[in-house]
Amino acid sequence: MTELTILIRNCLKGRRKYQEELYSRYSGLVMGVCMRYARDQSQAEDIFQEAFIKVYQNLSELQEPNALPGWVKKIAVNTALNYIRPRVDRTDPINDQTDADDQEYHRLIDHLTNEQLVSIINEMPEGYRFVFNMSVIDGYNHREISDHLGIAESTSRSQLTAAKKLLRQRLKKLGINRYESVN
Amino acid sequence: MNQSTNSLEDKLKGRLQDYEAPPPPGMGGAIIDQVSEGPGSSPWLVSLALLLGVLLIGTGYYMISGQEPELQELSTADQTVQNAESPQTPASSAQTSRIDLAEKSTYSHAATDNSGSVPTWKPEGKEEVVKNILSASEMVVSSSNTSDIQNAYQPFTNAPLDILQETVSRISGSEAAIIADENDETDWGSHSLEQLNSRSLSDINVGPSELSTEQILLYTPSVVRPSKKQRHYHWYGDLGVFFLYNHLQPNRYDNLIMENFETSGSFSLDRLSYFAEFGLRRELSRRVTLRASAVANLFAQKYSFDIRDETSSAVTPVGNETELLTPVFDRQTIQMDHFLLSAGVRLSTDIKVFNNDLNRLMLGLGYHRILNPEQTFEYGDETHTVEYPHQLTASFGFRKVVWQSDKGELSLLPVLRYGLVHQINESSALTIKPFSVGLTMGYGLK
Repeated sequence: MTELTILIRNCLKGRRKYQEELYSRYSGLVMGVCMRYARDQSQAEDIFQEAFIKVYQNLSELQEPNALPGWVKKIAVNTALNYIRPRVDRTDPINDQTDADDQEYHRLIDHLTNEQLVSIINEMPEGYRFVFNMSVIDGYNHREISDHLGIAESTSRSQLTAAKKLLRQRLKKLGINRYESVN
Repeated sequence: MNQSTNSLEDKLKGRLQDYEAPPPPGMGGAIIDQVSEGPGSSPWLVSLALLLGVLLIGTGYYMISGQEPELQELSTADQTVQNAESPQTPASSAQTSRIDLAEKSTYSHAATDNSGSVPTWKPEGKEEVVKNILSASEMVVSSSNTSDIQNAYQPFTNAPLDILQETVSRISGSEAAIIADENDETDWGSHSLEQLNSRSLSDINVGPSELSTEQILLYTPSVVRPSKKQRHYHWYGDLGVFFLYNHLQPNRYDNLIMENFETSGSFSLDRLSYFAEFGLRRELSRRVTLRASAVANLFAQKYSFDIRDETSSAVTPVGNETELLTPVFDRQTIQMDHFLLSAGVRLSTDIKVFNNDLNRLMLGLGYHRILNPEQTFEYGDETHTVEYPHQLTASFGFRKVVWQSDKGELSLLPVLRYGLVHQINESSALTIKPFSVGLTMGYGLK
């Protein structure tokens, strides 16, 4: 019997010690997801609470104990989607001035903390943010995104393209600011 | 360019897909508390609170209604005193009133009537007189000879009111107030005790001729101390009906997962169960009565739950771990619907905690076991048992005497019973611990 099996089983039996252990293990992961999708800290906390309650309440639905981390994360994402119900507007044309090469972006990213990266993503419009998170970070395909957000697949694609361009702009700007501040 | 773009997104994914942020402080405990309460348990708690509320309100009503006669006594006596002190009260009337006697209870004067046969009552002799009256009262109880009785209370005829009141107060409880006219042919058994009390108490203020020491002696001795006859065992029987609530405890150590427990509504007739008790009671003192009895219960068992194994035999291989998995368990719903007969013994005590003999606090401890064959249900290829273990129950209630006659008394008893035994058999899939709230009616011989 695996460690996760024991954990799940005892949580289902209502043993508080194991419920706390489950929380301790995955609260950071769930909060990370919430921070990426939410508009701000307050909204993230609301989603976090709702998501974790769903985790406990639906734990009996988990068929494979080893899938627990991914399952928890999936619940967090779904909760965020249901909570925020993002409004995906028409994609505005973004002036592509991202002439920096890929290596430069890599260096920029290496210099940024995860919190800074999340902050950059949070600054994007809601539609961009959700499509970018779902597609790039959480691995949804465009069909799934269109199903979840109630948009056409083509809209999902265009939103993603626009989100990527916007991200590069922000990264570049942040990088310039950073170098300027260092200098 | 496309390749470099993908690698940038991959880099971001690598950084953020397992990104963890510090959770809000203190939220974990609150979430677990919220989940632990569970949607199924909340209604149960609400029902319990509601039932307890009803029980407390009912009990309060009993207490208040039972104490009314004594309150009446006090208020009426106060009123009478006021009247006696009023200047409008004729002197001749005051001389013959008990209040007049009470006013003379300073014992500085000899209280005499026309015959002059009444002894002088002095303050320093009050305690002795009271003791003598109590002593005489016991003698009256032990004697069936009329002349003996008359001789016993003869010395105290026309004793001042405050001495009689003091005697009555020594005989604590409302029993002392049950003062009856020995010539009264009224069928006392047809009255409730409240009526009896009200009537008797009002007699106190009527006049000296209607409140003689004889009357007190005749009717109060029995409550000074239980006579030998009263100390004997008396049969009694109780019949009750109650709502039964089962606390279902799945076995924490087996591989079965039980969920979705469903039962009838809090006050559903499906929960109605029945109770019978037959035994002996003995009055240990004026305040405590002990009861030992045989009990039988008919428990209504109607509930259902889902059951499944911890892991399914039809597990779908997990691909992308971020996929939301759909359960494919072999889930089965178990429906239980039957009555269980149990039998056992019970020891309880009625305690007079209020200054009123009609209302008593009841505390009890009982043991019973199910007489039906072992309960089982089938799941998979195995037969699983439902453990309804040897039950130890604590009970708590208020017994109110609603009617009494020379031969016996009828009482009502709102009662709450709670099973004390938790899981004791790890081989059983499910253990049941009962909790019940009900109403019992009992009749006991005197």
